[in-house]
Amino acid sequence: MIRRRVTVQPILGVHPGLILAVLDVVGLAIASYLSVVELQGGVPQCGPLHGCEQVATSAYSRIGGVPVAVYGVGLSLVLLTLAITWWRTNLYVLLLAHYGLSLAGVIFEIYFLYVQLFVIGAVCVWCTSYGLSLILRFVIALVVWLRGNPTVIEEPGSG
Amino acid sequence: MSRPPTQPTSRRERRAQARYDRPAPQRKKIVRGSATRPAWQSPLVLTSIGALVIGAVIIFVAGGFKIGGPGPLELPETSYSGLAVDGETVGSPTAPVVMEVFSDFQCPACKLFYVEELPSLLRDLVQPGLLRIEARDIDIIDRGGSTESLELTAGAFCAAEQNRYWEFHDLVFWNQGGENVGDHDAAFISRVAEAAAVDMTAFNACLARGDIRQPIVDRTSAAAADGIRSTPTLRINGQVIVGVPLYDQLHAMIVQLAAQASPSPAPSASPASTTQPSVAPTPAPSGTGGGSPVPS
Repeated sequence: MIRRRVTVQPILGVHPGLILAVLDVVGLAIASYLSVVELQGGVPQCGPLHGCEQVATSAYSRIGGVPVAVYGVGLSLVLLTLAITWWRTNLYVLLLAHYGLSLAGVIFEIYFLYVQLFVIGAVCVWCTSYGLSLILRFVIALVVWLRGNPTVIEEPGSG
Repeated sequence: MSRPPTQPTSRRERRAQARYDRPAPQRKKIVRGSATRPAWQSPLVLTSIGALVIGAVIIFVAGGFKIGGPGPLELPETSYSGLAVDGETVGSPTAPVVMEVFSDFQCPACKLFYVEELPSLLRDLVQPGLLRIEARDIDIIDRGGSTESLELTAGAFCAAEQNRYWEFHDLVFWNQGGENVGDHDAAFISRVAEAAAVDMTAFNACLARGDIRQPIVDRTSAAAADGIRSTPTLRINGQVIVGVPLYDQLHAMIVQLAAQASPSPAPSASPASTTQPSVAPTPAPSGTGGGSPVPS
């Protein structure tokens, strides 16, 4: 079995996988809060900012009857697993998977931000924070891949 | 290359010997770039394409036909020009027949009644002064944490404070969405209110008031106590009709009641009569069950 590993250059002296994992935990925390609140029939608290109630009670906040935040929890868990595994193994397919999934998430976040701004007429700061963390994760994965791409090490696996 | 003739003695020689003896397949191979593949076949590009497709599918599923946002509101066929309108009431205060309409803004059978029969009722019976219609919006459809009926009714109450109740009311029914699926959210209520030409500043201030929703709860409880079990329910000079009556029969009944009525109309707050209605309700559309039952 051939395994491919990407040569990794640290970011600020830290393995990028660890940075991605931390951002995934941040996203997981935000999505978990929104999920718990919405599944209990409540609305998230925005503090002095407003708009969470309108977004959370809109038809766009659910897909198939399930709050969008629940899908965010699932995505964050998968991304966190990929980031940690990549951090420990440097297997480049894991980085690619993290990049691809975060890109799909970013595309949805762009759509959701459009809906908030131009359809619902309100912005949920929690949702936007999650989206920003996702964009950051996507950018980091992309940069790491581009910086590590020229040198790919092939070696036979134990199998 | 020939094998070294003697056994290694120094550390350097032993390392060199070990490198020499290592099987070839275990050596790491450094591959630089992907010179044999076209750029569009690189893993990054292929992954990006896959992610774009996945993202597009998610958006399609999530937004469905809402990707471009909701379309323009359908305008009701009703006209209140020249009619006496007072909050939730339309028609002459001295009309001989008073029809109370118990309805829920999310009730599809109520939509059927209003869309199909209200324009004709206004033209044929309210305008000549035979009928006064008093709307009695109640909240019986909200379930599972949904507050759409409650919020729609609160919006109607706030519109009534500006005497724009019927414009708001009709816009909601003409553009009614599904039950408890999020179609009647705050954005929808705002769009309807704007289309009804209410003062949005006062409207939003009204919606934010803490006391605007309690009368809806009280009215719903009072209706249930009066035996109002589903919507729409009509109470015409005390006679109760459950469901959507055929227009011709409803028209004939009101004309007959108007002819029989004394100059002073029956009080609207009179308790529900046990008199059986003389008109048969219209079969409700599939899925409505003839109206929306009050949850037990």
